[in-house]
Amino acid sequence: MPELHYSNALEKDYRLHWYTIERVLGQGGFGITYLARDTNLDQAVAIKEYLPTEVAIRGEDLSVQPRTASDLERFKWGLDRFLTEARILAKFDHSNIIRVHSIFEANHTAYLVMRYEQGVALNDYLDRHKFLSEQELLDIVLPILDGLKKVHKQGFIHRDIQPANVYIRDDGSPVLLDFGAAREAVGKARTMTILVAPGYAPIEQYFSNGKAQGPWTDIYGLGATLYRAVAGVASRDAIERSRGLLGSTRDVMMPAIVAGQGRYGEAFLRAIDHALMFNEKDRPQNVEQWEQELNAVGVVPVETPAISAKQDQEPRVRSEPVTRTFTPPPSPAARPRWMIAAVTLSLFLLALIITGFLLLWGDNRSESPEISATADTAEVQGPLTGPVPETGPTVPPQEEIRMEAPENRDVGPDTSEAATTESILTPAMPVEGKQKEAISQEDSVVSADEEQSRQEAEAKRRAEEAKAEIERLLAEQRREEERLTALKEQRRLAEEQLPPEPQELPVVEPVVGKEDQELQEAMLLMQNENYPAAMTLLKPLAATGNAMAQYQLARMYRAGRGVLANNATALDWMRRAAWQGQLEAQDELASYYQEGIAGVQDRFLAYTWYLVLERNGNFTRVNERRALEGELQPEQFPQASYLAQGLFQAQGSTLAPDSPRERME
Amino acid sequence: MNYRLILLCCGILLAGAKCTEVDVTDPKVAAVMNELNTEWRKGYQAMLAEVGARHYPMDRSTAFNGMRKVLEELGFTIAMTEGEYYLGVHILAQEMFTEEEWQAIRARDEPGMKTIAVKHLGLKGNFAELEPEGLMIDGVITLLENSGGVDISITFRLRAIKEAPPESILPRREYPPPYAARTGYEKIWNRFERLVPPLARMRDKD
Repeated sequence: MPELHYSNALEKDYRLHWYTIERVLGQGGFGITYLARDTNLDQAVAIKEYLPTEVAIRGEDLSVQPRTASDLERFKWGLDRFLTEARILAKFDHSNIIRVHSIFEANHTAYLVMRYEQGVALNDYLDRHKFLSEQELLDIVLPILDGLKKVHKQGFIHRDIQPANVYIRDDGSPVLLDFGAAREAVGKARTMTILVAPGYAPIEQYFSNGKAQGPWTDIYGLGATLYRAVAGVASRDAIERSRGLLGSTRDVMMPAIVAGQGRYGEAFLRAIDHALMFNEKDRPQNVEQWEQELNAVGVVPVETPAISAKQDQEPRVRSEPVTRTFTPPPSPAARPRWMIAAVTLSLFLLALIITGFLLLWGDNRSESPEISATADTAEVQGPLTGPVPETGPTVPPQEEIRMEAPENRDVGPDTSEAATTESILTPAMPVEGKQKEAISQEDSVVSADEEQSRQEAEAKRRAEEAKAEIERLLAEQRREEERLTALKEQRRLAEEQLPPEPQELPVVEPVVGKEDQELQEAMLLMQNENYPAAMTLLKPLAATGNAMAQYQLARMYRAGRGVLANNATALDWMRRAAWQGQLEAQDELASYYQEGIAGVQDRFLAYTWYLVLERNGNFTRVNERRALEGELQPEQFPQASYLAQGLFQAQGSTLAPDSPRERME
Repeated sequence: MNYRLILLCCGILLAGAKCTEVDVTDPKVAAVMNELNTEWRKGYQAMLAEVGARHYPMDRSTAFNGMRKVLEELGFTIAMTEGEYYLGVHILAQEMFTEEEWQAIRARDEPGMKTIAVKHLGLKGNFAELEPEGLMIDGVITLLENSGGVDISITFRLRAIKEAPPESILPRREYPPPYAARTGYEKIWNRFERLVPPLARMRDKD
């Protein structure tokens, strides 16, 4: 396997005090993590170098330098945070929290020396094992909770718990990595910029300056980690959830109790859902509370988890958490950021309440978002075998979100969030009370009606405003994402100038690009209802195995667009796309089988494909699947489940050419 | 006088005919159906655990083609496939077994069925007969790779293709009678094992 190239990284055999660099384990926006050897003790260690690429670069003398003079302050501030927090982290001694051996300064930057953990990141582990049992998950999460307890008691929170930061050692014990000591260094100079892992970060991490964050923030991250294990996909990003709540007062996230139904205990799933409550106040407020809920699961006769037993055997060797304080660092920029956070949070709350109010009045004009799960966004970085992946890099740059303060809001500097919220919400709140009052006063029926209409109109106006504001923020977020994606692409291209991979690049790259281009063209043609032309483009693409083209082609054959309707051919292309893991195709294929399109009705297969869809994190057809249960023999459920597992694993493969229709014909 | 005798004879004939009619909405008949389904389900489940699935040390493709061939030879219609993972098949119940096989099945499964019918319907229950008319057997065969070989799993379900049973008072049911199911499974597995090892060997030679 070709060795990955890391720009800015120190070379192999480079000596840092008595440590010799062996290779890079991972690189991210905040620094580089190396595998190194402690030549004194002759043991492997992981060393994290503070090198926030956005503000710093490696100089010719190998020292780390701010990119520009204006980056100096940011770099220094981050460096201080890195050092301070690393020192605090080093004080923690817990077998399930990454152990920090030492910290030192060199090359004008700082280095954090940690225990080198051998194992696999939980996201990789889950990819490999698909679904873990309830007991296995408890064996992972309970020891980590135990470590977090210590951390939280010291007033620190991790703030970036996600599967990529939970490492499963070779002996099966879990360890929580990367307390991201440097993360804030990048965030500092950005107004309201926060760096989070979508799907694992609660809403307060997007919109608060830190005061709203606490143990419940980490509990959300752990809950989301369990959700990923249970549902097979990451939970919906908090922003999307907020948008769903704004749009329909309905959470777009499929609860764990549904996603894991039948495979996990109800109490366990409820504990996950509790941890994933959207509002921080609705979640368990401390680790002990949530731990109790998870332990109450204890139907699984809780033999002491293997992991805990290992802790008992080797209590001294591992441990140590690193964390960050609940209170944000005092800085000149803190106050404006806080104000902006307050306004933004208030806007969200306002929109939530007003939308709820509008629904109560039967004026639900919002669109219902589809319930579906997104693909897991966790990224693996660095060599797969390498331990101690860094959190920073696992959050791709395009996932950074910039939220600017609403410009038109006049919010006093010290107005509390609650007060601000209240002042904005007040007009909408008393509507119901006033309505009742109006009804009881017969003399003033007319004026009460007018008042009611006025209030409704006012509430609608405010809801529209709030929605527009949210849309603006989201649009801004999208623009920022695009900008960062472009930046990332530029960096990637720059890095690609290095060692070429001659056998692949010339062939693969252009073909992929061409395919995408043709597909986009075909989609455009379809939008313009130029189906014959779209068909001309889609056919060769589908024939070469492009799943999206196959799916679109199937739909065209089904609808008779640009071609004579042919259900058999539609079914065949749909099957091919579904086999490649195309979710829409799997969805439609199941309904084809259910309805007997093309004369082939097979409820067992319909049921099975709905199961595959769910394994892929799409739960939009749960009701259809359940309705099919009555059509199947109960003894066939496990058979269908087993088959679904097989089909799920076979995804990505090309379907054998013998389709049933071909045989029939 | 003769007139009265003729009327009496007709009455007796009508009454006799009435005895063999089945009213599926009759709660007593429903009770027979339920108990029969429950009993046969138990037998089916036990049998399923025993012979419902088998593991063969061969690749899935060989197993799939072999199983398809076996089922076709036995008279099944292959209604559906999904890659080499799934076969959806069906066959008319009376075509699944030879006359001799049906005799053996009746001898084993009918007494138990009559006992249940008599329990709910009284003497009328003795008219219940095990017959395959009006029933389709739907089969689901899945093939999944496991432990270096392939797990083949088969389930069967009965599907009524006529609204009411033609000549018997036997109620419609979903589960095959236990002995019939066992006979069916053994027929499939035996034929598969006779056919496929040579196929597998041929494949190895290639």
